[in-house]
Amino acid sequence: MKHNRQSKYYKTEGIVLKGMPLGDRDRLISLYTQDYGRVRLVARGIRKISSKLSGHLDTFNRVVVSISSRSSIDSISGGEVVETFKELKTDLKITARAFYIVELIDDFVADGSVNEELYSLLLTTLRELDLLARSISVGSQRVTMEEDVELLMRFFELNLLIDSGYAPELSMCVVCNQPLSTEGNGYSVEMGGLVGQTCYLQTKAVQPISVAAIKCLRFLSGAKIRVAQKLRINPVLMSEIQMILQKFTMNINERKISARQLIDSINTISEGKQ
Amino acid sequence: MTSRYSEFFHTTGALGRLVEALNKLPGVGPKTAQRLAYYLIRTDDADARGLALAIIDIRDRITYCSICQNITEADPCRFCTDENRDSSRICVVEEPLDVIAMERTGSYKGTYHVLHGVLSPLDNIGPENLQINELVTRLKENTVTEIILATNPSVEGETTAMYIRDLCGSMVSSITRLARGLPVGGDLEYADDVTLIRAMEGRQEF
Repeated sequence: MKHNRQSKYYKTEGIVLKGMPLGDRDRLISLYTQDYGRVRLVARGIRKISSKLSGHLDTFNRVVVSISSRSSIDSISGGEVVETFKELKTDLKITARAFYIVELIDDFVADGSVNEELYSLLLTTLRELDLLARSISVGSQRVTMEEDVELLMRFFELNLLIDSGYAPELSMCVVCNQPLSTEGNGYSVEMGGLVGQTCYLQTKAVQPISVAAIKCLRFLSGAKIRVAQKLRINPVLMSEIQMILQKFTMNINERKISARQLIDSINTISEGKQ
Repeated sequence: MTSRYSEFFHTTGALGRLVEALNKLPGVGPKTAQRLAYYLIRTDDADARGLALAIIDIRDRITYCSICQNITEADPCRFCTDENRDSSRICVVEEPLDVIAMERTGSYKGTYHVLHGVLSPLDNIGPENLQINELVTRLKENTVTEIILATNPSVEGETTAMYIRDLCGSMVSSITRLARGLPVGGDLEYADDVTLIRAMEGRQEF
C-alpha cells in the first residue's frame, strides 16, 4: 500500500542504488523505490561497527524501510533486508554487471519520479543475475553463462529504453513511416529507430543494421525475461546489438557508463589469464 | 571580489573569505562555517595562528609514500622503512585512516598499501583512479608472500577485493581476506542474512 509521503513517518520498499559517507557516522542512501521513485535518505549512525542497519542497507539490497520526514531531509528510522542477492555479490563479473544496470537506472530516473515498470525491470534483472551467479558457483559452464549474462544486459538496456519512454521504433521507418524493407535497412539514434532502405540511402547519419539484429531487437522488446533468455545468438550478432543499444542509451544519458569500463577491465584480466 | 557567501552573510574581506573556506570542508554547512569563523576571531591569538600554521604545514610537508601510498612526512614512510616489520606481507586498505585503525590494535607487524578509495562506478571511480597499478609494481619488484585484503565489507569493498585477487593472484602465493561476521557488541537478532551466513562460515573451534 502506498503511504502518504507528507506524513511524518512512512514505510516503503526499495533497492539500494548507492551509499555515500555523510559526516562522521552517517551515510546518504540513494534508494530506488516502487512507490516514490528514487529518494535520498540519511541513515544515521550506520557507519558505526555496532550499527544494526549497516548490513541491511548494502548496495543492491532490496529493503523495506521506515522513514521519518521530520527534518529537511528524510531519514531512515528502521529497516530490514528482503533480498540480499548474495550470490551476485560473490562473482566479480556479475557484480560489475549489477553495477552497470544500477548506474543506468541512476542516470535514467529523476528524484521522486515513479515508474513501477522500471522498478520491476531492475528487480527482475538483479534476480536473474543472482541466479546466473549461483549457476556459475555450482560449476555450470562459464562460457554459456557469460553469453546468458550478456543477453540479459541487452534485454535490460532495451527494456530500460522502452519503460523510460525512449523506445526505439523497430517496426516502421522513422523517416517516412512506411514498413521496412526485407534488407538494407539502417538505424538512427538521433531519429529514434530504424530507417527503411529507401530513406537510408537519402538520409545522413544513418548506420547499417543487419536483418538478424532487427529480428533480435524485436524479440527482446516483446518477450518476458525468461523467454528472452532462451535466445541463442552468435558473438558477432551480440556485438552488433550491444553497440546499437549502447548508442541509444548514451544518446539519453549523454555519457559513458563507468561500470562498462570496469567490465572491460575485468575482461582484460581474464583474457590475460587464459 | 564579492562572493555569494559574502552577500549571504553580509561578511566581506578576510572574514568572508574564511567563512567561504570553512564551508568547503566536509560536513561543514554555511551556518557552522560562520560559527567557526566567529569562534576563531574570539579565540587566543596563539591558538588561531597555531591552526593556520598546522594547515600550512600539512600542505608543505605531507606527501605520499612512494611505496605504500600512505600519507607521510618522510618518503618512504615509517612503516616501509621499519626493519622490524615483515615486508613480505602487505595489508591492502582503502584509506590512510584504516592504517591508523589497524595500528591501534598493535597486532599487525607487516606493511600496508593504501588504495585511496574503492571501486565505485556510480561515483565514477574505476581501477585507474585507485593505487592498484602501484601495488602491481610493488609485487613485481619485491618478494611478497601474502596480501591481506582489508577493504570494507560493503559491495564496493568486496568488488575491489575481488578485482585485486583476480589481478594479483598469480604474483603472490597467498591472498587472504579479513574475517567477516558479527561485530563485538553486535546483536544476533538484528544481523542481516549475509552477515549471519559469513559468521557461520567463519566459525572456529572453541
